[in-house]
Amino acid sequence: MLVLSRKSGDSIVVDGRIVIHVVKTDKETVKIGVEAPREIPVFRKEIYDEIKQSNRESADLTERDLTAIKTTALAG
Amino acid sequence: MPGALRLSTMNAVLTNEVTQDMEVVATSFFFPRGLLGFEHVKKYSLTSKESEAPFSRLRMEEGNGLTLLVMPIMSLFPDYSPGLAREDLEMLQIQDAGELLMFHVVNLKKGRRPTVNLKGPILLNTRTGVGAQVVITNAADYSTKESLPL
Repeated sequence: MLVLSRKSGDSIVVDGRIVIHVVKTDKETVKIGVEAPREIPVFRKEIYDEIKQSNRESADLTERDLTAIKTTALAG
Repeated sequence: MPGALRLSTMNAVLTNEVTQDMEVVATSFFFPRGLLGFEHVKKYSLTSKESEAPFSRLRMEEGNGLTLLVMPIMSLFPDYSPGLAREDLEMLQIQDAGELLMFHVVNLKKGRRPTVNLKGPILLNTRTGVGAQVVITNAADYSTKESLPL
């Protein structure tokens, strides 16, 4: 991992097309601006990880799972 | 173009209005950003079978060919108020609210309680065939593992 020290107002360039700006810093928080091409989505990592995991769990499904839930869900 | 057939039927299925006449409806979508965790998979098919309503299958048409189960949730969660970022709606080129379909990924693993991800819905533009999974702006208010009242 590349670790850089930056001050407010400094920036970092990734792959020539993503720019990370240090907008503001205070004691506990850094405000970061990310400029990226439209097709590149940017998320807070914890929420990204949570949804990625949720997607993977949803996809881990067999036909038997589907039959089981249909029986339960559609009987009522 | 098979992908455009019976869109009204698909809409009806996805809004939970199942009728006896419905058969299988399959539509292709292109997700420029893939799904979260599956960014490289851009091509998807959405299949809605009457026998599986209210669920639809969102299948990856490349990569591992995994299938996610999705469903419209507004009837189950009438107070759900997702914030949709302007950038996301612009990316999807939504010109009219009628073009936008939203549904949510469900987890129906046998032996576990059924849950739905309310933070990261799937949005589809039925006019252009473009889709995306977005994170709602008020994600902190909702869960990725909300219990499904089934």
